[in-house]
Amino acid sequence: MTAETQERAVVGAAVLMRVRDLSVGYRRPHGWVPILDSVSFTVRAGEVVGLVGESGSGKTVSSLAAMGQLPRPLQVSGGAIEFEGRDLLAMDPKQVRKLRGVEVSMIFQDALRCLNPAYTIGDQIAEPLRVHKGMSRAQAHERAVELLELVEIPRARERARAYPHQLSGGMCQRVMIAIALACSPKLLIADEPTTALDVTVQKQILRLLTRIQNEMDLGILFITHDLGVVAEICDRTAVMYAGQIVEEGPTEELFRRPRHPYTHGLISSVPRIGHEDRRFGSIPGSVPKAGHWPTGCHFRTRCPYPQAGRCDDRPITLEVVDAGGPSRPVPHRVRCARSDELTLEGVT
Amino acid sequence: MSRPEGGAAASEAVLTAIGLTKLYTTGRFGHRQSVHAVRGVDLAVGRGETLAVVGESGAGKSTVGRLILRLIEPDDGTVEFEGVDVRRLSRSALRRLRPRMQMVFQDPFSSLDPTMTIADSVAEPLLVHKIGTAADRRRRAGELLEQVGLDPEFGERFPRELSGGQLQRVAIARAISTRPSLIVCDEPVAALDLSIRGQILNLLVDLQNATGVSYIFISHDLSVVEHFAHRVAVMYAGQVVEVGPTSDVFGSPRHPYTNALLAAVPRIGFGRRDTETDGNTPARDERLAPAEVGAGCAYRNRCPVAMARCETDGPRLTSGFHRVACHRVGGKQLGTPPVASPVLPAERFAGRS
Repeated sequence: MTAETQERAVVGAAVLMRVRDLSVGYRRPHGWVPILDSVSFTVRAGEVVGLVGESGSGKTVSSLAAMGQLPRPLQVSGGAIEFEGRDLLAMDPKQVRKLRGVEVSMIFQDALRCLNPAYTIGDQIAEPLRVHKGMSRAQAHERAVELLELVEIPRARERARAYPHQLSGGMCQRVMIAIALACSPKLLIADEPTTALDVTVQKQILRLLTRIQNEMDLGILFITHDLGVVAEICDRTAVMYAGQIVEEGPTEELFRRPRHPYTHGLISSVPRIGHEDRRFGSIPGSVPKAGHWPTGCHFRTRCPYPQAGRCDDRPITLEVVDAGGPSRPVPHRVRCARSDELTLEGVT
Repeated sequence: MSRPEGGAAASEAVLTAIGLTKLYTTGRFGHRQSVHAVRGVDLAVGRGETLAVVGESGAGKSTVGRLILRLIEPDDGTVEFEGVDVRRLSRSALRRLRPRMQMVFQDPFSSLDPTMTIADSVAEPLLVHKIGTAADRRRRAGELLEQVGLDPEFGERFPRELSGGQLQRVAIARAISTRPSLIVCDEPVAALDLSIRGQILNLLVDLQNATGVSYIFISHDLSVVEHFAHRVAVMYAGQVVEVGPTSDVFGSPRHPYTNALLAAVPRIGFGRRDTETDGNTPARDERLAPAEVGAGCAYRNRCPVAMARCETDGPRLTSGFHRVACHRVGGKQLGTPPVASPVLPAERFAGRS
């Protein structure tokens, strides 16, 4: 694999998670319905990797698969998921459970629904500490208060005795982050953690995540549909469309010089400051459902530049278009048969 | 109280709301508390104009939208719609006025009846208001679907067969079926994917240009509002804290809350890292409890420039085109009068565009 050799040259930081050619789907009476089509990505220590895409593109399924938590009836049909070199798919479920919550943890969009309304937040933060670290009740409670302070909740000692319904949405998300960080994980998977929050609160949570990530040298896989959020916090970004990663690269490079027509379409759909006319960019049509992906390039039915014979007959592979500079050799890859002919305008 | 909006008064006002107030009571028996969902909101919308109402969740945006249409009864204030005092209307008179004011909701999956065909859903308002014969209505449904960019053939389908973007088009077709002069759009694109959002917004703009309909556009997405609305009203804790032409409010925000809101919008530009605007973001993310607000400014606990006066004395909106409710801004006249009134199309609903 050429990508592999490229990959190895990249920055010194340790690879935490490597997902390689992961395919996921489910069985139907009339055949197999693919949900993910050879998705590959890596997350290193101290790095924020963004996974963007619209609903149904496979962002969440990718992250659930990476946690070994695929819901029924989804099954992995190919590829590998490695955490620090250990193959997650080959591990027995008990070991995967040990990994989860200790070395890898996850936060979700709806924090209030993830918290148990019947327990105080202090108890809920203490739970993983008692289960995984074997702490006593008192020790775990002390640590819970420290964690609440870490996530910048004022009057932490008092708040530890509060129930979820007594806190605002932003506070609940902070509590979720505290729970996720309880056992000092190496990797945090954040699935749309700020989508349900107001912009001012979103900003605070993003700032908090960035601070903690720097302090703990945490790797973060950040899943979102909001390009503005990605631009603000992600070092690298992968764009997903219809079960595939269609483009991947350093965030700024990807936004300034998109190489895939879909990425370009997404960027053009974001209303920009200073453009005063009342026209909004969009992509015609809608995302094809799983099982109804076109042959060849999945995007060709909505693409402004399809070419018969090149885009429709064979699967398109993810190719390196720019290996990156010597100082920071992060490759820019794209899954488009015509990427070298197209000049797509990015963010200026 | 004076006429709320100089800007809208310049063109013909479709809707003028003054002092809208809605109270809810909460708490257990014996510990009843009244909570202001909306207090003393003044709004005006001109013909063919889009007024955006922005603010965080719980600011009272949607309540204002429903109060204006009298879907819920206000506790105080007046709503004048096309010269008619909506609050004094009897039920039957209000019903006769309904075709002129419509609403589009956030989630088209739940706002359309899953057991009705698309064509039936689109034509339902016509049936309810007894407009035309059955054949007319069927033909009109087809026309409306075409007007919102859908194949009339979609009329035979059911909501489950359509995507979110297509369903939102259907909801819009239904809203314009009675040729309204005002549509309240409550977060119409919030549930849609980014690539679809632009399609729906462009459709709304085109319909406005073709028919001269006015929109009250309730949204939390400031980047959309900036490009979509002619004027914008910023709400905080049930009150309008700043209102004015969109370019003025976005270009030179005066209220500390508007500042904080604008600074917090994630942008995809890389030119300037936002460290210098960080100071605007409130350090605390919790609003004052309604009981704590009292007579003072509701934003004072998060405001970086709050002073002693803000504790006891709630600021009122200044007058002019760009109005702000903040003691720090004072009674100065702000902003410039709108250059021209919004697009006034000559023919209303003249054919399909």
